[in-house]
Amino acid sequence: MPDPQDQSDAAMRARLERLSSELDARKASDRSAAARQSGGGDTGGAMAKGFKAASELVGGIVVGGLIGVGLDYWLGTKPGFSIAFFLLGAGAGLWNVIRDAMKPTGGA
Amino acid sequence: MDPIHQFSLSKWLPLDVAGRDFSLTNSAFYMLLAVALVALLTIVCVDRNATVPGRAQSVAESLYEFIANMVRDAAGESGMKFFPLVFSLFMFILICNLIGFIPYTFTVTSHIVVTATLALIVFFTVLIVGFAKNGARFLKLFVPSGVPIAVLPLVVLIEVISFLTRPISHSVRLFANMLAGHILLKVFGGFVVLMLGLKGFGALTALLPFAATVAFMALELLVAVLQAYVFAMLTCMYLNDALHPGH
Repeated sequence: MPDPQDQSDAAMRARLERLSSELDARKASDRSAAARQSGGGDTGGAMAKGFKAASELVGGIVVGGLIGVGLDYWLGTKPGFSIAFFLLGAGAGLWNVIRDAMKPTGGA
Repeated sequence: MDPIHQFSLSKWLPLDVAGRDFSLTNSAFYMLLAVALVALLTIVCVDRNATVPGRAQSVAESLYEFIANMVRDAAGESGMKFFPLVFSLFMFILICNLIGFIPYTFTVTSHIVVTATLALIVFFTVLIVGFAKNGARFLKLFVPSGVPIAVLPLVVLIEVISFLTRPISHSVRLFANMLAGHILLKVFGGFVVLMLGLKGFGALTALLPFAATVAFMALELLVAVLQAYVFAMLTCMYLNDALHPGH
């Protein structure tokens, strides 16, 4: 007959093992939940990029146009600077979007 | 029923200081309310400093971690000096956007004065920090490397314009999204009321705009949070330019 001390040790070991396996399972499910969450974050990131691109395109044209009209108003050279800076502004907006889109995605 | 009426300012506490209008408007009140709520969440709820955080404290802590990671990713460890600025901007915009969802409240961020002020704070911070830290080397931001000398003037001009574009796109993005979203909700809400007034089965058609309103509400909630995130993220990217120009 095993002595009671041994028996309780064995029971304790069994309980500890069960506990650690439960903990492992819990950690794994936490990790997959975190991965799912970051997947959702990527959709948000993509939408954020979209908002950024749209506003930069418009912003470039608006700022270029304003600078052009301002210079024309100031120097009385209508419509030379308006045309030039409108095009430059559109170019700047487009260039911003292209530069952003060329960046490697993913990573960390 | 006027979809624009929700954006009108009204003086709640007329106040005149030396000929200047310092009245407390509904806009100012909701800004103060947002600041108070941010302070409540981040100061009062964290004050007990519990090792096991309560609900409010864990919300505050996860927001803190979220923004801290964003700043580290976008602007590096040296960018953490600007963490208070980015965190304040993010929390203020987030709370203002979310307050706007409560009926009869006022959405502060749907006014371009507010968003432009926030964007200009970022713009001038970038300019001042950029020149103070890097001196003339900050101008390298406008001169990309590896560009043939023939087109360099054109490229520099485009880079300068795109730099000046930043405060505009930064502020218009937030303001336009909030404005358009709230008008959209109001217009569809108005349709519900109008169609309920129809006779007989006509009133049932009110279900259609009602369903649309519910769907738009979810979309606008996403947009409200996302716009705060975008604003903070771009602030980090612009600050990164100030700290490390000419990369």
